[in-house]
Amino acid sequence: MSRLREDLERELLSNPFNAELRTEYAQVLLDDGDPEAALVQFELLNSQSSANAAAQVGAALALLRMGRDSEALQRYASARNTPGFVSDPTLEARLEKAKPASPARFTVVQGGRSEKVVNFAPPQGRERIGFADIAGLEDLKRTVRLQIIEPFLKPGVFAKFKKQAGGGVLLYGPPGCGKTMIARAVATECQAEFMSIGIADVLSMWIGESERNLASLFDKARHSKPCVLFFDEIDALAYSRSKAQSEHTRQVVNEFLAQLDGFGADNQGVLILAATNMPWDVDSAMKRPGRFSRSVFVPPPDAEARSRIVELKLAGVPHENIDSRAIGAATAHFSGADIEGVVELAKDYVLEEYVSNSSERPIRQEDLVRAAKGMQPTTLDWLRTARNLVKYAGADASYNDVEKYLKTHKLV
Amino acid sequence: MSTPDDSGPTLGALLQQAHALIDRRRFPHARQLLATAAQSYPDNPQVLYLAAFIDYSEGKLDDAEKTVSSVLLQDPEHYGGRTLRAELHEARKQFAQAETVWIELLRDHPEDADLYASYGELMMQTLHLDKAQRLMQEGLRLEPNHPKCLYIAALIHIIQGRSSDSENEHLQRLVTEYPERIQTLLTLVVALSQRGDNRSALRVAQQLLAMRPDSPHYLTLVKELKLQTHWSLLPLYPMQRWGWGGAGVITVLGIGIVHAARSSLTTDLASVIAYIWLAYVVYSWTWPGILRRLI
Repeated sequence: MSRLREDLERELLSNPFNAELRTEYAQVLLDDGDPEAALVQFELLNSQSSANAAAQVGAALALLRMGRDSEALQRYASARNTPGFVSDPTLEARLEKAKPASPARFTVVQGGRSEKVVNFAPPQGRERIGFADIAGLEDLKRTVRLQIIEPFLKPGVFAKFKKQAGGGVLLYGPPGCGKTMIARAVATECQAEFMSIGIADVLSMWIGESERNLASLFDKARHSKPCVLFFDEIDALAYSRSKAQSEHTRQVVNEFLAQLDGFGADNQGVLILAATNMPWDVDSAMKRPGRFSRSVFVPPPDAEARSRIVELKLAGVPHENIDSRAIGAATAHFSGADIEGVVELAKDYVLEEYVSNSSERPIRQEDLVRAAKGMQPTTLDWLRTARNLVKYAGADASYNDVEKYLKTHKLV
Repeated sequence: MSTPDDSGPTLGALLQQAHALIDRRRFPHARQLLATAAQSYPDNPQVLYLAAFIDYSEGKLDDAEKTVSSVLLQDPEHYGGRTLRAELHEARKQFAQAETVWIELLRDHPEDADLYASYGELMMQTLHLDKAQRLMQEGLRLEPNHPKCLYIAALIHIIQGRSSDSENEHLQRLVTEYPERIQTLLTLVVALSQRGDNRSALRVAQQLLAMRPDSPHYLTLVKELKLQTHWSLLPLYPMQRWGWGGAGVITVLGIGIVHAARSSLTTDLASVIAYIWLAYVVYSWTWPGILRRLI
């Protein structure tokens, strides 16, 4: 161990957030022939700042020295999208050499097994949902149209204005607020096939098969262009590697990253969307440029949306003199699922009365009001956690919309 | 352990998937999978152990205890079941019983660094620091980069207040080998706070909270450090840094200044100084409490 390395270690201990010092330390480790340790440091730099091109190139060099050539090249390719990128001659030459002869890396998906690895419900059977079917949430729809749909439909216009349009989009927010529905609506608006992937579609019981499943899904999406590939509960698939205990979890994340970078495969025409209730559990590398660099906060439905949901849930059910606007106003922070619960509870009240008195009557306003008073919005826990993140943990810019929401609703 | 079954996945495969889900903290999903496994293998100790582990992770100690008893009834030597029993004893503050289980486990697995780490952690919690230190030495001899052993050893070093943290080689190794681990960040917070560098400690604690924003423990830690670093508490720095010693020095100094002012300055000026001193005393008693509520 050189003297310089020891000095840097000591300095880093007293100043752990000095990125310059850590970059120097990582470089020293790399020069000392310890690429594994250098990689750890470069990864740390990457997690501290998502747009550190030098750290990404450093990580690529470390991977190259470790003999993980393809990962190194994928990493280098993704670093090119980062502001402040400075090319490295060694990696540049390797990348050039690799390009022409690189077929889709994960074409063999079935390994030694004869049965189909991945099975997911085909979208044809399901009713297609468009933005017109989603009540309220006008601001969100506008954001989604501008950030997701238009760049997908008209990539040329965005390219002309040098506006980055590639990469995936992460939808996050409290549970039961329609993230999946928005993803389905995006597919309809984009006139694309919709492939929804849940944790059970990927996580497999067999070693190495989860990775193969992922590769197979991306492959299938590339063959079904235009296609919206939607990962539900992405936090489970791309669980933060620093929190994970098992190597298997980390390997799945590595494979996911490789697929997102699309090295050797063309992700054009495939819109990748993901949803999560726990964005803080998603590996930080997933949020780098070219991957899920754009995040869209899906808030609980607004008053208009809530009253519309009440109307929808009461359709075909006996009811009289219902002021859905008043119910919408009385259910602040309720999710779509919570409002469904309110209507179900109101039905229970009416049926209870019928069973005890044998007198049949429709659902009335007071039933809904009573039900709403008897329920707590399930989004509050999530909003409290988000508040901790925004108010106390110095959350990054990706949580700006949450902060705005919390401030508007006086929750922070 | 498993019986291959043509109609469904093997037990080993189910357990592996349950492990993957537990690692990602998808407890309801893992529980569902284990319920499926339990239908075909109702008395399998590994299935029961994972179910108990989920209960323990969710704080359902009574349920976990019951299931662990079933595990050990099926297989008294079950490693996971025994470690979980020790951890359950610790969670209930039954330290003597926990120690007995760790010692028995170490007798059966004398080369297991995990066990030295867990036993050492218990000794550290109960302030048997010398014993904890010897256990960590043994653990690190078996596995020089064992993260939990490094973590406990670094904490013992800090608790004992020995030398500066730059000489805390365990902390150095933690920071270089496992810089992103929660344990490393926690140790750093303790080390930085002890050194009086509360601003850096706050930044590390914020990183911890960003990783687990639902943790009340990290939230309290951040709030406390925010309080310590608030500009309005700057006049109380000596008390924050040196505790009662600092408070004593400030009190003696204040009384001395007031006395000196009375004997050498005009009455008006001496009164102003006395009032300022009085205001400082009131502020030092009341303001931190008010600020804590405001943060």
